[in-house]
Amino acid sequence: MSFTWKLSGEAGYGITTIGLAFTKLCTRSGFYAFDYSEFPSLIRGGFTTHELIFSDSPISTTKATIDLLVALRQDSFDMDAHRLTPDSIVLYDDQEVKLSGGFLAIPMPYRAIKLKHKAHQVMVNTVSIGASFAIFGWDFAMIDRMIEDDFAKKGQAVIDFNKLLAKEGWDHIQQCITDNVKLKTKIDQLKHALKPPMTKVSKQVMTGNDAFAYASAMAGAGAYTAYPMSPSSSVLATLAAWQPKTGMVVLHIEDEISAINQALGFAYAGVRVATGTSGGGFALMVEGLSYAGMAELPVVVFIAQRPGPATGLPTWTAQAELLFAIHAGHGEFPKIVLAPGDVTDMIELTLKAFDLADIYQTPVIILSDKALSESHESINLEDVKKIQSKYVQNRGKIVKNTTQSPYLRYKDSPDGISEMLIPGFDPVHHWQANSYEHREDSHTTEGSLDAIKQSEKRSRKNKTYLGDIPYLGEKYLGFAPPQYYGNTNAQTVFVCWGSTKSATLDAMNILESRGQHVGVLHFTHVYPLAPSTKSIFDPDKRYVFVENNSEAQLAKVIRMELGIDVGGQKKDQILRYDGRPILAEDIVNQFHSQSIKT
Amino acid sequence: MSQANIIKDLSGYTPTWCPGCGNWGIIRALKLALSEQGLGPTDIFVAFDIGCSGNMNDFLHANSMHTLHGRSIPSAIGMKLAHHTKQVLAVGGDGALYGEGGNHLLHACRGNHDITVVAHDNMVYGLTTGQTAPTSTRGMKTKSTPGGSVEMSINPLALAISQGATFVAQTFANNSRHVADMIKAAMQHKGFSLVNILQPCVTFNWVNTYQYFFEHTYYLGSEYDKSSMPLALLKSLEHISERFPLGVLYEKSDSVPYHLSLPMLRTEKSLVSRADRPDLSFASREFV
Repeated sequence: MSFTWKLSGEAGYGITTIGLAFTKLCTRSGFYAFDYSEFPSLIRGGFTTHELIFSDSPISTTKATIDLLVALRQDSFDMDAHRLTPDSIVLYDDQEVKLSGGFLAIPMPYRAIKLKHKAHQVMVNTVSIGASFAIFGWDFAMIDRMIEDDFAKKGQAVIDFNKLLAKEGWDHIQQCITDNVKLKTKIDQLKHALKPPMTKVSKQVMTGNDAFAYASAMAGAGAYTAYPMSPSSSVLATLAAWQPKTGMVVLHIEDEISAINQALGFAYAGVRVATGTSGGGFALMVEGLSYAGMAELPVVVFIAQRPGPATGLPTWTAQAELLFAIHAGHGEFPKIVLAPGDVTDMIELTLKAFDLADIYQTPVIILSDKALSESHESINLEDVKKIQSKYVQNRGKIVKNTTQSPYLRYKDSPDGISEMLIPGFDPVHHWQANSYEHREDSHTTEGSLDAIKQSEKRSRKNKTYLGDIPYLGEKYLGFAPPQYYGNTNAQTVFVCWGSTKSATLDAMNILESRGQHVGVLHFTHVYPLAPSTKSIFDPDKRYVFVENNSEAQLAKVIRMELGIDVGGQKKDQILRYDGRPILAEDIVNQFHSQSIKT
Repeated sequence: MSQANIIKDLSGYTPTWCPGCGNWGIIRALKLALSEQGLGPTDIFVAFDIGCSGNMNDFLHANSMHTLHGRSIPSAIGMKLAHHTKQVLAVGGDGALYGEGGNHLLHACRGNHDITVVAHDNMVYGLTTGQTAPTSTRGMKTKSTPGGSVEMSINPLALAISQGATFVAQTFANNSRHVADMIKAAMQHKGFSLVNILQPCVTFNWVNTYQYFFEHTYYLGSEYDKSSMPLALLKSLEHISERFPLGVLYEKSDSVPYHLSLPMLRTEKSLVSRADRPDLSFASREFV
């Protein structure tokens, strides 16, 4: 069972606020919920949508059809009319919107209610919530609870007024039932289908950005430096708000160049640190990334992707920075790029990113995108607790005291990793984080042999990460191969990375239900790729790349890294690059049309 | 430890600067200032910028970063906040601090970060072999401005004072004792301090020579009131007529450094010494 509810209207009228309250309510009622919001890059006057899907099983993507659409304006309806089915319900403003099509249309007297209560446009959303709940056949007590929680900070008067308006919406539906048989039947049907689950699993509602912030604190990061940029900005706000509780130093600095160079100051001094931005801000950071590579400083860089180039589509989604991220920074140095598939993945991989940065003493990049960064998802609290209780910081060869004398910061070693002494504690030894090529003792050098030795040492860390060289330390923590899902005999395999995971898995399930076997290969450790990954690709199978970009960037990375010819032709690519996330139905439809062609 | 021993500890490789370069006087002064405060290499954190001055990374021993060009200030701030009980310096030239990294200087001033910026101001680009600098006098002929530079010269002192720096001093590389005194005073100041050191480049700047600075500088007398910002601004404007006052132009006595505005750093325990991971139970309540 899954149900999509969508509300849209003018930006600045509380649509996302009420939407989030609804997502949380669904979660508290025992459902799994996921929401996705679209809004323009302006504060007022544009068009905002909030789409919510709730289900009795975990979900982290929406679907193509809308089950209940609230249309407050004509464009709310026009934009989504094609997503309505005969089973859909449309609640619409009877004074504003003209409808056409075969679905269950229920006119709502928004204007009359507004006049009656002298209510502001923002309040109209509450009327819609009341009406929606009546249609779902849910208890009115659930609305009471939602309003009490959501408006707790705003005082009793606001709570009471919202309840009153929700009741208006609720009552209107109850009145409609008496003379609308179709509606009554529908409600009876939904009441059964949308009954909140009896067994309630404790869950929490988080965005990908929340998850990154949360896991950063869990990893023991001492600092976060950033300049605001959509869609990464909420990480800065969240961590800044938490400072009194986490003790983290959170800095909103003058630009992204400063963000990474300050982060490297923290890293040199021994503090776990991250910086965050989107593609444009990351472009300003790349010289600093190269410095981290040369001086072997651990830093986590969080990138929430949006469509570029340049300012691009600031508030929309894309997976278009993969090639940029893996190639970022002048010169040759190891870097690790991770791309979580969903919110739980984000928690796990963020923890791992901090450990990898410390172990390999090199930058680790986390690629998120608007779809993952800003969508809310309900995740099982038990899973989070398990991850948290299992987690133990692994700082690799970063130490507070050294037994070496003289201390050689960049001492050559079989795994390429040298001991990093946290400066300021040892009364004798000191070293420099040198942006110049250096000798083992960290002094500047221009000597040929030193240059070769250090260059090879740095690149050896890559091999250690990929598992080719044993890591002489604690348990190996490094590259993880892609995860395969579905029927192992499937002749067609969808290949995806990062946030397109859920939609691709849904597409697989839809095709499976139609008797068509496909598998899914999902990459989270997108760069570098272990040579052994090559063996996962069967030359007799067809691989179709599902990506939120126009060039099938992962396919390029695989061709470059593994030397196998996959995903280079249009027929083997399912791509979306209009700023919207790929949905399961997009994948199924494109797959069908491409299969017909071939 | 004796001062002589500290100086020995601080000394790295023999510098590679040109004979007669102002940097020789500056490194001598730096070692003097540090050793007189009893600070050896492991007691301090230094961010060296890129340039002839930044090359001091191999000549002065310290916990240090040899940063990217123009980025010594952000790196210094990171080190300071990570280890706020330690003294942190940023050492760079006018190109790095007033040109490439000019934006960072403005924001470090207004943030009142407790770091000491030691600016080697030789009014020319040395390491790239003689191009115009942000502090070059207007009309100066250099490799990159054969017809004479068109831009006004940056006024580092006025810039820093107006942007909220709480300690601004100027000194001349020829007088190591004075340079050392200025650096010491700057380090002892709580908050952002800038020491602009006028420094002849004997190879690429034939205008601003030792002789030039002897003629154009003067020491501020004991009657000068360094606590007055308007007076300090007025003094700094003498730059326009190529007059360079030497001494502490401005010091705000009740300055509160950035890190002391952060509750979590109002303790002797630095960020890097904290082993504990935070209790995140508050967050699970927030997300339900």
